[in-house]
Amino acid sequence: MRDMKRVCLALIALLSAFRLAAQTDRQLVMKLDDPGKPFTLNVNIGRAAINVSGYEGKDVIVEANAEGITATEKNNEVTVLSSNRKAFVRLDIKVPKTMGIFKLSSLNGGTIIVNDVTGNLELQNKSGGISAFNISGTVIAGTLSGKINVSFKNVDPGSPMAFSTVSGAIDVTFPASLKANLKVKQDNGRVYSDFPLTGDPTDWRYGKAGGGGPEILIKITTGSIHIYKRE
Amino acid sequence: MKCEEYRNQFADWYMERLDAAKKAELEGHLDTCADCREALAATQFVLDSISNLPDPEPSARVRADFRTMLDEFKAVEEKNVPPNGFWGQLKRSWALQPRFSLAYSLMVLLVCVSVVFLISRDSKQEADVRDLRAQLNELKQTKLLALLDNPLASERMKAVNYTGEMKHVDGRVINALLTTLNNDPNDNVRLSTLEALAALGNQPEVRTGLIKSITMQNSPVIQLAIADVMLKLQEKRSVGSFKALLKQKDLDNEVKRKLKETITKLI
Repeated sequence: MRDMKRVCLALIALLSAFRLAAQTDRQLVMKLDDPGKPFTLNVNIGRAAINVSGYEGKDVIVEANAEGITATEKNNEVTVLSSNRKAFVRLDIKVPKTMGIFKLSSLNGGTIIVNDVTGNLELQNKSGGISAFNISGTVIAGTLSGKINVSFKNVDPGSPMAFSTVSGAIDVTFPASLKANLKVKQDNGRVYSDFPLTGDPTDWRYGKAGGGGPEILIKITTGSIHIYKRE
Repeated sequence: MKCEEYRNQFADWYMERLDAAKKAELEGHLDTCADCREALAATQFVLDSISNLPDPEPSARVRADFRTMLDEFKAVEEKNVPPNGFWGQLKRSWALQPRFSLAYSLMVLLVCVSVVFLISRDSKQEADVRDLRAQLNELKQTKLLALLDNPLASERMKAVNYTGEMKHVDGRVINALLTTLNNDPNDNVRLSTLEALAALGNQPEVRTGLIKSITMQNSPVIQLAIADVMLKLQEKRSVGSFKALLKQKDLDNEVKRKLKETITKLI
């Protein structure tokens, strides 16, 4: 009986993988004008799950599981567009690990996920979560309903950051060496922070990590905030 | 050394005030120079005569006169000094040796000149610092205004955070912040702008601008935050705008609840 179950599960997995592969009808390899120099990736698609990850390569590779996705490159700036804004699309984008600017936004239907990149990230969702892991640089992330989960390898020491959502949760992990002025607020939830915070728990709470630095603003209306120190 | 210079040392030699080296040198010269030996003999004679003079005993009259003078001086001092210490001292200084008073005058002059110099330098430095501060503020404002147009959200937030460091935020900057609050494409930039403006809530144009901005906000993040700001500023004039916002279609349920609560608390 257990074996039957296993076989069934394996079959389902195989079939769905096959189906996904069949749907991945397009792969766009975008050569950068000036590889190695900072590049920009713009994705602004209404209904999209966006998955960006850094890899050891020089091109930006865009894989879409739906028709109507186009990408352009000009002066190291890659812009991904959809001709059908109503159709849901899943995008897998591979980018060089060198310094980049990432402006990724979606409205509904999907999570924005970024892994192993360096640079300046602007991540905007509406109903959907945002995850960014192993990031070196700056992140500004905002959604309305969904969880924001960001973990830094390194932080750009001169840049302010912000994380906000109305409902969901915010988990952010900073390096222990973080130097920043934390400014944190939640209305219906709780705040846990490895970096000491002071102030009225019903209002903005403040903390100076590593003696202070640029402002890091974290705000949620309903949900909890966790601020971790990566040892 | 010339004979002239050796002769200038005769008095010191006589009183044994020369150090060993100079003494030996002088005596060596005397051995070879007959003129100087003669001159020394003359000087020695004069000096010997002076030191051999008997100390004259002061006569009774001198002693009496001295006593009278001392008593008179004491009387004058007792009369003058306590009520008029400064003038008494000044008078005494007046009576001192001319070179002393000259030195004193010079010193007064020096002090006056240095005081004037220090004052003028200080006020110049102060003016310089003021000037520099104004320039820095101006520079910050210019930088801030330029940064607010930067395509990167983090740079625009940097600009917004600059206002917290500025001593004086002028109308130009307030207008730029209000424009950012109403038009910036990034929710987080608008959120941080709202907080920067809330910190300037004591300025009437900021309050007016914030109230006007309420109905222009379409993101629940900002709608909720602006309700908190108005509550904190106890801005009753915002109630009308919140009521207008409540009439908007597709308003988030959480926002509706918050706005109603805010209106109740403000009235």
